[in-house]
Amino acid sequence: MNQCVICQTNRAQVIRPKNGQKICKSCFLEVFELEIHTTIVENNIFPNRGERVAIGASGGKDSTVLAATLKALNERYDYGVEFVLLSIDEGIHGYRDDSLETVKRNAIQYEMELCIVGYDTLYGWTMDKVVEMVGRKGNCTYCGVFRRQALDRGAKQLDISHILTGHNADDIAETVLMNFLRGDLPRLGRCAEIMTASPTSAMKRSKPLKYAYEKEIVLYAHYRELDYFSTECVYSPEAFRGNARSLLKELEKIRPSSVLDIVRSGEQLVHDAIGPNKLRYEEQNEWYEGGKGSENDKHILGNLKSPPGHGTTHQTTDGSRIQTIGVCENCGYMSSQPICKACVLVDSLNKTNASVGVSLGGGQTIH
Amino acid sequence: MEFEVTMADIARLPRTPAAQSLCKRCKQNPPEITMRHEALCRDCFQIYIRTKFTRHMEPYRVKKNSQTTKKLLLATSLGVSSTALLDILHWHRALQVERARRSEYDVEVVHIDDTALIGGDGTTAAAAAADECLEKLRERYTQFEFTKVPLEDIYRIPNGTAAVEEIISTTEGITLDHSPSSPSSSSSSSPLDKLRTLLSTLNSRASQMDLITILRTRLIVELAKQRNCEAIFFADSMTKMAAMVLAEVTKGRGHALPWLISDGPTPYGPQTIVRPFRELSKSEIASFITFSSLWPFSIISQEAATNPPKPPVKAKNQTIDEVMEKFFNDVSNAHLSTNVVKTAAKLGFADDRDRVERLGLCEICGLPMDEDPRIRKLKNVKAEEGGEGNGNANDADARIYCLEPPEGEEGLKQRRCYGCRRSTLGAGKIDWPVNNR
Repeated sequence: MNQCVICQTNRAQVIRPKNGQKICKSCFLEVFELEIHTTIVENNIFPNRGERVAIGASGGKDSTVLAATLKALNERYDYGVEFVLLSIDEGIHGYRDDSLETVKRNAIQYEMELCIVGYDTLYGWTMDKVVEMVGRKGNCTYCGVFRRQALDRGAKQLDISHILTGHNADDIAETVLMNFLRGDLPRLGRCAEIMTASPTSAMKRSKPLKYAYEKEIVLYAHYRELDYFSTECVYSPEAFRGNARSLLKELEKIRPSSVLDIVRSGEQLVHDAIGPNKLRYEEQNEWYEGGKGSENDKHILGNLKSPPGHGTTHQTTDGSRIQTIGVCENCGYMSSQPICKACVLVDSLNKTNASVGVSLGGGQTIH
Repeated sequence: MEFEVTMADIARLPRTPAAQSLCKRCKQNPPEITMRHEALCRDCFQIYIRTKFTRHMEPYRVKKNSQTTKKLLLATSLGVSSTALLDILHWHRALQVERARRSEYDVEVVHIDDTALIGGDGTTAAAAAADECLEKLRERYTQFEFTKVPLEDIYRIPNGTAAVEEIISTTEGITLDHSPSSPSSSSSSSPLDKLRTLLSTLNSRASQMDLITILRTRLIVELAKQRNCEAIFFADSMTKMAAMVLAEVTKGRGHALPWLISDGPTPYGPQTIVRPFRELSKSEIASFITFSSLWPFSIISQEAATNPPKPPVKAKNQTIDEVMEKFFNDVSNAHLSTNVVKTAAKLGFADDRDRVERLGLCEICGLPMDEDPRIRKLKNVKAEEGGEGNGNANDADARIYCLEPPEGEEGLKQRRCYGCRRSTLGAGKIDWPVNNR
């Protein structure tokens, strides 16, 4: 009865959430992969042939689908890059040990090199031990800070300067909403960008699944019978994200394209709101004399005039940050502060003074 | 209900052991409301609300040598915030008259009536309630002029630049053409029919409400132009604005946020937008209404405001704005509205002038057009490489965002912004009543 609107031959099995198209399984797989290919080509994600690129692999659906599609696309369209799976072992019993087994199988299935970096070897603490110390509240702060650095360090070990992560459209839409809700302007400007190279990390990070719906990722994994691990982290019902997540789900019911529309809005904020051009404020005010923002802009300039010290962050009143990069005095890792956040946290753990860590968490901490 | 406890009653109840039961500010009266961790008496609370309001009234203070009286247009939905703003504005103007023997401004209150869209008995009941409320307001606030304008009048607004200029230059005697069968209109259908046709082509209630909101705003702006009002006052509370911000983000209008929520000039014309309640939460405004005994002057009853009824529609049929309002009306999320509004207010544009000149305004919402960020990036790359070819990028936009232009409307992307293309998706050619300047 219901024919696939693309091939006009097979029976339609899938309704695409993006546009309500009813299509068949094989057309779905093709369209899904083609969209990721388009994303890669248009954003010039693999500029250099012969480059080695890391895929942040957790064994979950997103990173498994990422690895599977990239392998297929690399063969089909000849990007000429080599993929390496990079996994982080947070040391969470009953979660990470099992998912790492999945990653190990993936490495064989996709014929990719695998590198696992452990929190215990890097920091001397597993997340199990951290949670024992600080409790379940706020432990995600530690994990988040540790993971970001661990990924960088792992890639460095592999002599790689580009990490791909499996963030999907739903993740990004949630983050956009979340950053509005917590009033995090600097992050709001960055979170929808497909490729980031932050001042505190020379590592390039890209999200090739940025336009892929979570639903379609699950479906793709299901149709291709991918081997993935689907348990939530035992420690982290991330409360604040959960709030944004349920809001997004409700919006998606009303208008399924909402996820993509929020991503689109987020992209516009990136380029217009917090771009480097912001300093061209004089011109702007001349045209737009509504008084909006003129004060804020002065603050930025004021800050620029003051000589940047070693590794400091100036937080201007409008929330924009001007960062200068130094090196952590402790571990030598890049940091905007004299001592990097991971070292601060490890220090606090070692001093068995858990509360300090949380308060020093600054922007990372979500209460 | 046998017994009804109002918020004022609750506030009057003795709190905790009466150790320090005096208002934190005046230290004289017993506190009646706890506001931002401060227990205040009702007088001090009203002072607080009025102070927040007065901050936005700087341009409308009595000035020594001002020649003419400014005209302000106050848009009212007859809701709680609208009535509160009306009351405070009335107080503010009366104070000017009392102290300076004249006022710097006159206020025209306009209610946009969209009850005709409900249809049937619903229309009659809703229209009667609105009329009754307007009548009460007229009696109480004698300094102001009140008018009710049906939403479909947007189809009676003379279109085109020349027409608008004409209206502005000839100041007096301009009225809308209310005759049911206007001979000037090219097609025979009435404005209401046109509006209904437009809405019926849209694919969801969310899209309909989106365009109704846009039409309402544009009609208010056109009315302000016609009546030579130099500013338009909206009673949006911080709670409402937070919902607006996230709703517009959800509709894909992130690019237009500053125009949508900031006070000041708009791309629509010289009128400035003022939202004097942007720092007050909905619950604070509701308390103000309670303390001033203004509930009878709003179309929303006190019970409905404090305990909003479940939306009468299915979850799937809600609108994006409704979901967002519900989210911020939820007590556990109310505190987040500050963050959202303040963050959104800080967003600005780096390339305003360039963008408006190059891309123009959206034919539907009238705000500056957006540009596919990837196309811009591509252009930069292409410019550096000296290459060319952007047809490919256009296709990809349709492919990735799944926003294919309807057949025969390939140029739509250049005329309609992303959010408006989304809301009119599948509608085909539409009869849109307002043009940009």
